[in-house]
Amino acid sequence: MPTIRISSIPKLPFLSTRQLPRPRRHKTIDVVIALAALLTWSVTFAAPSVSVTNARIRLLPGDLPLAGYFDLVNQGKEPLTFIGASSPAFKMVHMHLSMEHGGKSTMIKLEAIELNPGETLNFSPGGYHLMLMERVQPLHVGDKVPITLQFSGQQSLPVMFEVRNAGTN
Amino acid sequence: MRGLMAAMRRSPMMTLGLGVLLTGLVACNQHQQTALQDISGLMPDLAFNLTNENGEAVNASRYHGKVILLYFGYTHCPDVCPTTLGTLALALHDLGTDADKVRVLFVTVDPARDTTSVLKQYVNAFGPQFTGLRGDDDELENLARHYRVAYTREKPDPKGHYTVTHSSAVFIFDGSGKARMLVRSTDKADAIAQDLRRLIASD
Repeated sequence: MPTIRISSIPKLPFLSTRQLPRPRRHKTIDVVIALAALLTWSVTFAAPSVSVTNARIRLLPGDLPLAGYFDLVNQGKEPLTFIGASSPAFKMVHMHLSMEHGGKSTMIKLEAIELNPGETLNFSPGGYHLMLMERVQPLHVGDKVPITLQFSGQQSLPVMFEVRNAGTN
Repeated sequence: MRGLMAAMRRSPMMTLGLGVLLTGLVACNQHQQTALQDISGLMPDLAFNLTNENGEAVNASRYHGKVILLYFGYTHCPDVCPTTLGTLALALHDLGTDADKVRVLFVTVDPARDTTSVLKQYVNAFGPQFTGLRGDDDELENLARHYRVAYTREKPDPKGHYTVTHSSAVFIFDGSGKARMLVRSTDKADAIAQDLRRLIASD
């Protein structure tokens, strides 16, 4: 069983999109900045050693929240911490776990799930799921939707999710 | 009994025959059991006064002769409700043309957000046998109490989103409105289809 954490975890560094006027400077400094930027880029977008299969979204009408499911295997030699996801197709993505207690169903919001090397994490109906809220545009069965899975240590993995019919689990 | 034991000692073939007979009886008995939990006599008959997804006032008599699957949920539920309804849709698919003898009644526990038009779009996504029902808070509370179903609206987040904790069970009623079986979240579509077939055949 993967370890879950529902308390708060350190937030990812905020990336500002604000454009500041560029001061004049020497060319060498520009090269150094470019190298530093390249290094930062490679750190920010480092892909973890994971395999993701069966990534799908169950479509519901209107703008109802949707569930995203997938199977993830930590193929690396180090423990991995899955901390959530983001997508240009949804304004909000939460990580949830459905639970049944005393015949009642409820959901809890998760902040992190820790995975040991070789461990598999199944996001599947009635258990772990991504809750996808506020569609940017209407979706249809068969569409492919990009969702980026995020891990601790600034690692992330873009995955294409297939949109499937409401009546399929 | 002493005579029987003595006979068994004398004749190993008779012992074997008795074993086969007993195994057969046990197997036969299992065949009579339902795949799902039997709730016959434990729940009140199907009864309600609600509004359907077309805005019409409906009660249980409208569904007389149909096998009914009654479920309480809400449309903003991303995982458990569509998973349950999806499992029921798969079971109905297994029934082929007999699926028309079944109706799934989805009663919303969130009438504030689940208007008739939201409900209509929602149930249509699962199939023609699915009906959405809503009532005001009092009607819903009465119905929930009638079937001992619990639901709690959780505190909204700053953006006004909220979840509703609710009973996960689906109640099955036969064509005369008698409660017969309970579907739990762990039950699979084939087990549900098996019991639905039996109910349809006995109606």
